[in-house]
Amino acid sequence: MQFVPLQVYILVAALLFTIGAAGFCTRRNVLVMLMCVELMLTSASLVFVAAARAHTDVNGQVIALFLIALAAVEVAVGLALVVAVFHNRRSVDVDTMSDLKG
Amino acid sequence: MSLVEWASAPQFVIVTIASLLAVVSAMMMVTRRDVVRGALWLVMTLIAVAVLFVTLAADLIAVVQVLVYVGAVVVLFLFVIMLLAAGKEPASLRNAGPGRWASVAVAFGLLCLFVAAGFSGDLPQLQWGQAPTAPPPARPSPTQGDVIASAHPFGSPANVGQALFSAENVLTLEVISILLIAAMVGVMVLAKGLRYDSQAGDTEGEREA
Amino acid sequence: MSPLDTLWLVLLGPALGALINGLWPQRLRGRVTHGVIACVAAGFAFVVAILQHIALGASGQEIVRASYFTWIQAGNLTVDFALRLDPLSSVMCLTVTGVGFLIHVYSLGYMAHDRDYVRFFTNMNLFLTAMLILVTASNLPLMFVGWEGVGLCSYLLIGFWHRRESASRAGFKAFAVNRIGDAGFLVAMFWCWKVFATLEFHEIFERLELATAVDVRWITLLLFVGATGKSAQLPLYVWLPDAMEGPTPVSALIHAATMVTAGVYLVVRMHPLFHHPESAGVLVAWVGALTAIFAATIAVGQRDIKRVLAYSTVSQLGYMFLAAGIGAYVAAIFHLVTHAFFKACLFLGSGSVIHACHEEQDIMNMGGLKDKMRTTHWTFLAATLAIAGVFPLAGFFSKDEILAHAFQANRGLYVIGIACALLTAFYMGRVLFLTFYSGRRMRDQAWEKVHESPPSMTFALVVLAVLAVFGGLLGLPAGLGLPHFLAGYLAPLLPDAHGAAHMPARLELALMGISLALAIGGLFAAASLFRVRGAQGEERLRKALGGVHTLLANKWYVDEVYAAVVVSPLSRLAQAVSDRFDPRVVDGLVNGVAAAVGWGSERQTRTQTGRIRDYVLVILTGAFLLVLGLIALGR
Repeated sequence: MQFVPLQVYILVAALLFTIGAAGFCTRRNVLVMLMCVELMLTSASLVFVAAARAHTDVNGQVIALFLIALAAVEVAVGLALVVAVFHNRRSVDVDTMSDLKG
Repeated sequence: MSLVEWASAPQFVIVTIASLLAVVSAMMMVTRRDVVRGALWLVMTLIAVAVLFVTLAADLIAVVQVLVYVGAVVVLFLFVIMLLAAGKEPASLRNAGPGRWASVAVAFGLLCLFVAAGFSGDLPQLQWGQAPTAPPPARPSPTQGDVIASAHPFGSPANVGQALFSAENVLTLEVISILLIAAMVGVMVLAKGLRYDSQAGDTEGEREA
Repeated sequence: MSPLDTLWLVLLGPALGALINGLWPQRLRGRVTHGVIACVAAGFAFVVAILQHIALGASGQEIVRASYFTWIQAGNLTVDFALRLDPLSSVMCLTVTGVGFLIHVYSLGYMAHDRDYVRFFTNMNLFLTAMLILVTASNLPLMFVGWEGVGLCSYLLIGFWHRRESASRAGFKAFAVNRIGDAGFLVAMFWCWKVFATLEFHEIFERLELATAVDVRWITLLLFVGATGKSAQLPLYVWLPDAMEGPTPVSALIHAATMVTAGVYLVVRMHPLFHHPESAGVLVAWVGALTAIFAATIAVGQRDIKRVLAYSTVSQLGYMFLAAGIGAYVAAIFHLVTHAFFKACLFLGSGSVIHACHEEQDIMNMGGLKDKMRTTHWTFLAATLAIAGVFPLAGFFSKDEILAHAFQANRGLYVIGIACALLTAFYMGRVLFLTFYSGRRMRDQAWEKVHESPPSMTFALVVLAVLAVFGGLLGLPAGLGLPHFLAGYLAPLLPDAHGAAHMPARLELALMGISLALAIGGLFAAASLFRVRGAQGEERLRKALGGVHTLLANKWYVDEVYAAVVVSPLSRLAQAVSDRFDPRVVDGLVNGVAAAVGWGSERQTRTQTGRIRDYVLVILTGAFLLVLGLIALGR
């Protein structure tokens, strides 16, 4: 079994994170933004798993597990909020949700 | 081992394909106007990442990734999209507002930093990864782990499970479980409907409990 | 126990009286009780002053000084609450408490029907306390306490009838004008500290050689500025005539007999400095002389009986400063004492008249009161003769002594002095004849109600009249070989007590003759004009003087000039400040701070756009910086 350098994983994780962040910032659809958050969380768990492998420390995988749970929680609450907001505003445009404007 | 030899090794091929797939799918997901399609591209990304997990000897995580993300999260997304009939974005959402590209630029800056950090010589991971020509270590022996002394191989469900319930992680596990319960309660509250008492009347009594 | 061991005892009576009357929670049933308490307090102080006077004479000591506690301690400055009794302060104490006591008694009758009876006696006792502190203080700051205390009481009592606007304005004017003088006093005090490093009188006098000519000149000048404020000399005299808005006993006690002489006392008290050849003494003398003649001319044109007396007071104070300025300190103090007698008597007499005529103060509306008010008439007559300088009454001797000194010192001063004596006799005669002689000019209804004042008032009048007649015996002219008791008593303290003794007896007699001739001449002129003709006499006087009379009746327009030159620009400045500076700069500063904060906050709220994207931008930027920092630190 051949060895694959760690940098590849880090590069992929960084790209995924950046794509997620850029998407989060540029899209106005709340649903897409939540998906982008999922993407960023996944990239984080990828780094953890890679690090676990590098250090031969299974704790990294445990953290990845936690991250997946967190992502599930986040999606559940986030989507519930989206539904609630949509019922009030009939819109998924995040720019209309600016009631906290100072 | 020559570079060509090394590059043609099956694991490298798998990693390369999975990486490309993950990145391309992510870009597709972000750029789709159709949210349903975006969700499907997200599935592709997640599966590709799961493949990468497998190459990192994280079989359990890969399985959980596919189960939870693809099986639950994306399905939930799709369900909500259908519920809200928000599959197609209205044209009004297409144009990027001011300041968006500033955020993208910052995100790109972060990428540069990550890459710079990942490829500079200081990170401890690189010591392991700096020797592509050296024989890679076999699956770490069970006693080699810093914390876990286990008879099971690294990354196996038993190995991860023992780590998960070890004294080190059990508190975090409990916190996560409380978080799950809190989220569940929260979602229930949201789903039952909030009665706003705001004076504007725009939200009042719109939904029955 | 000798009275000299308890110098503070003289302060005790009035202080307690003021405290009791001022702080008694409920008004006593018989309100006369309050007046009696005040009179007893003043009388007690008088008795103590007499005892101390006798004890001082018997002890043979020149100065008795007692320090009770350290009052101010700052750096190397130490000021004790220390009292001092010497012949000078003893004479002052006797005058203040004696005249003060009589006026308290007089006030019992005069103020009997006033609604603020208790406040009046509280302030009177407070005034006595402050005045006694002033004259017994052993250092400049403590003296300043008394100085300001009498100023305060003067303000309170001028504005006693504060429901009348003119009274409260007069009180304010007195206070404001006195402030100008007080500034001089304060600066003089600072200067003294700088030069002598002490503020105790006896230490200053011991260290006189430390002072350069410039120091002496300026200290004396500044002290004199203080004295002009308090003693109503040019150019700060304007408050005193207005001070007549107060009750008449106040005018008698504070604005004739005691407080206004504080400036003279100050000059005499600091005489070692004023005696210095480089001192401002010459200026003091000339200012005094000019004030004397200036005020005397104004007095000729006034119709209000109390105003005439007020200008007369200014004029007589000018005499005292004239004496003090040329070094005739004993003469100054002598005139101070006799003036206290006859001027208090005159004021109280005028009060008696005003009381009888139901607050009528215009002498043109009086006349013929001689038979209705016998006691008042006789005492007023005696006091008028005394102030005019008719032999052998008190004013004759004291004024003559001053004039004799002036003759030796400077002929110009002497000429002004005798001119002033002539005017004094004339305007006092005018008041006397227009008030008590020259047929009645009152309406019948008012005339019926005119009555002699109650005994409490006439008692004080009689005693003061007796003093005015015989007060001159205190200082018979030494030049004729007669005993000058006051000079002998003050001799240890005041260096030139026998200055006039060097004058030939013949010259002395000649000067006396001139003075007497002028006094009688002035009185006769007044008599021929006013004794029979009354109002027509005034008419003739006005025609004879022509425009000058208008000038005099309007007080040389000094008040108007001050209003135009000082008051009006200042109030215009104040108005401008309140119109422009206050709203723009002061309010602008306050509102500007608020506006700046509001503007800044408004600006900051723009960062709270409510758009998630913008918050994410901030989060991302933070993450970027965090990673950058980690990399930078890791390296």
